[in-house]
Parts: sequence; structure tokens; C-alpha cells
Amino acid sequence: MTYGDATDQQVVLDARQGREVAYRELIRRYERPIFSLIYRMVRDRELAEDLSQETFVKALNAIDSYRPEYKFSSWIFKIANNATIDHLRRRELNTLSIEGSPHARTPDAMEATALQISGRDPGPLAYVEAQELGGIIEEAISHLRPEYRSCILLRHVEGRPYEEIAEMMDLPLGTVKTYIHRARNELRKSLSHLRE
Amino acid sequence: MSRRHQHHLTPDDLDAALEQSTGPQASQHLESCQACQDLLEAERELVGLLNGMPRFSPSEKFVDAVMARVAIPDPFALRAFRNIRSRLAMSRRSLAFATSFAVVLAVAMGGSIVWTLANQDVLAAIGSSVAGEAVHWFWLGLQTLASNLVEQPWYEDARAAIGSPTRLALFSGMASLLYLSGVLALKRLLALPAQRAAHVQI
Repeated sequence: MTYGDATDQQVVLDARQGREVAYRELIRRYERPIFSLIYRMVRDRELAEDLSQETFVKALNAIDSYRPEYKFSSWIFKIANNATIDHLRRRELNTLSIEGSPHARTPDAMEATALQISGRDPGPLAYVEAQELGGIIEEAISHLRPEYRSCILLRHVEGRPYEEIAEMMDLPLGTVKTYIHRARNELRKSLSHLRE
Repeated sequence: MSRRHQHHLTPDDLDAALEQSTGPQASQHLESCQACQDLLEAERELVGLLNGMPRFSPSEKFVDAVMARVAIPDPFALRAFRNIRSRLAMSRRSLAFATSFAVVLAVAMGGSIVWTLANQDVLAAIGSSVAGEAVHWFWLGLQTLASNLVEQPWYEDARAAIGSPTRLALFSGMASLLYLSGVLALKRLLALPAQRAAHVQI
């Protein structure tokens, strides 16, 4: 069975009927957005994978408590964001290097946990430029406060509207707007050398 | 010149401009303010860079790793449960049965309360008689148990074993120690294994 154009709500209804294929479809739809968000927040591939797994396990095991009048994407992003912010607050892991996790002990571990920036242009020079530019942006984002980082990633990388972000993060709409504007200001300052 | 026209773009104006829906006043201001034009251009570039950031993929085993930890409800059991629930809820006969049962129960309870209030003396007499009989049978049972215990062949040996205060203390100590080690062993057996991943709150 394939879900093609089926809405998330329809897939969730099937999952509630105990259909494994529906569970797999929900994971397939959201594994990349959720993993990308968490990876950019924690800057450690292994940890991001663990937190993404926790997010899906938590959401899918509580699928009966999901209310279909809300967007499934908001619900799962909210779980992911809570898990990540909760983790960052405990570990204070917010100023990491693009070269990899500070918890990595060996060069191999550094490489395994480092952010892998992928360019869109396959040419070697363009690839190197994209790697560098991507790395600079990722580095600038990593220096933002975790709350700013969540907001800016949800707004401008995932393309979520302000209202949805406010709902996901349990914050007033005005606060979300302020966070995003401050984050953009900080990023503009960090990346100002690129414009010169 | 309006008051608004003199002021630079607000964050909301900038957002609107980024989404190509600038208001007339903001547009008018933008035309004449180089600082705001530069700011908007910088914002556009930044948003463009952010929009172009790639998505990452988790490892290939990700889906299976998640599925191994998800409890999928059994479709057959789920259907059976829903069928029973819907039948109970939908059938007129079951609804009539439930209603008549509730009425009979309410009438019986009401009748018993009325009778109790009207015949308190009779109830008190029955109560004291039952209590007297219960106490009598309790003591009789206790006596029988005690006499049976005394006539057991091991009774004298057991009595001698805890005859002195020292022996009694030793015996109690050993029994307490045995109980405590049992409790500790049980606690260790029931302890949850340590979680590897961070706790996640919904």
C-alpha cells in the first residue's frame, strides 16, 4: 500500500488502526526535516540520531493522543524541539565547532560527528565554495541561543509560519517574532564579511 | 510628510517586504531611505542563504530502529474491541437493558434507605446480635488454634529454642536480617536499566 497524496491526518488514522505501513510512512515523511533540525541544533550526528529516534518513538507511541484538528507536522516538530531544547539546557551544548562534537575523543569520532555540508552544484570549485559557505552559515547559526536557533531554523529553513512556531514552542507570537528578528540581526552581523 | 514616513522600517514591515507584501507607507519610505533599502537587501540575502540550506538524512537503519521501539496496536484486537464497544453503545436492546437495570438498582437502593430510616431499632438489635455472635466465634476459633498449636510435637522444642531472652534476641535478629536481604535482592531485581538517550517531553 502506498500513501502518495494522502494527508498526514489520513495516514495517522491508518496508524491508529494498527497498520505498520502507516507508521513507516509517517517516519519516511518526517525523518529528514526532524533529523536536520535536531542535527543543526546539537551539531553531533550520533546524538541527533538518538534524539530523532526518541522523538519518533514518543510521537508514534502516543499517536492516540494526537488531535487531528492540529497539523501533524506541528505536533512532531514540537516534540522534537522540546527534546532538543531540554537536552541542550542540560548539556549546555550550544557553542560547538563545525569540525565535530567537543565530546569526540579521537579524530575518527570528530569526523563522524562533524556537520557534512552538501552543496547543490556538482562542480569541484562550486562544491568547495558551497562547503565553505555552508560551513560559515552553520557556524554562525550554532552561535545563536538555542531558542533563537530553533525559531530561525523552523521559520527560514523549514518554512513554518510564525503562528505554527509559536504553537510548537509554547511561546507568544510576539516573542517568536522578536526571537527571529534578533536571530536575523545576529546572523547578519556574523555574516557581514561575506558581503564585503 | 507623515510621521510614519519619517521612521525606518519596523521588523513587521521588513517581514512584509520579504514576502513581497509591503504596505503603501513602507513602500513610500523605502523609496527614499537608503539605509532601509540596504537593510532589506541584506535580509533578502540572508533569508536566501537560509532557504538554500540542505536537509540531512539520518542513517539507513533509522526507520527500523524507530519501528523496533514502537508498540503497534494489534489490528484484530482493536477491531474486536471497537465492535464490542459499538454494539454495546448502539444496540437499542442493550440500552433498554442498561436503563431498566439502573432503574431497578435505584429503586432497591431508595427502598433500603427508607426502610433503614423507619426501622432503626430493629437494625440496632440485629447489629448487636451479629456483633456478639462474631466476637463469640472469633474467640472460639482462637482457642481452638492455640490448643492445636500447644499439642503439636515440635511445640516444646520451639519453645525451648527461644526460651531465654538472648536466644529470642538472636532469633529475631536473624529473622530481620533475612527479611532485609530479601527486600534488597528484590529491589535490585526490579531496578530499571539506565536509559542511554535523553528523556523527551511532549
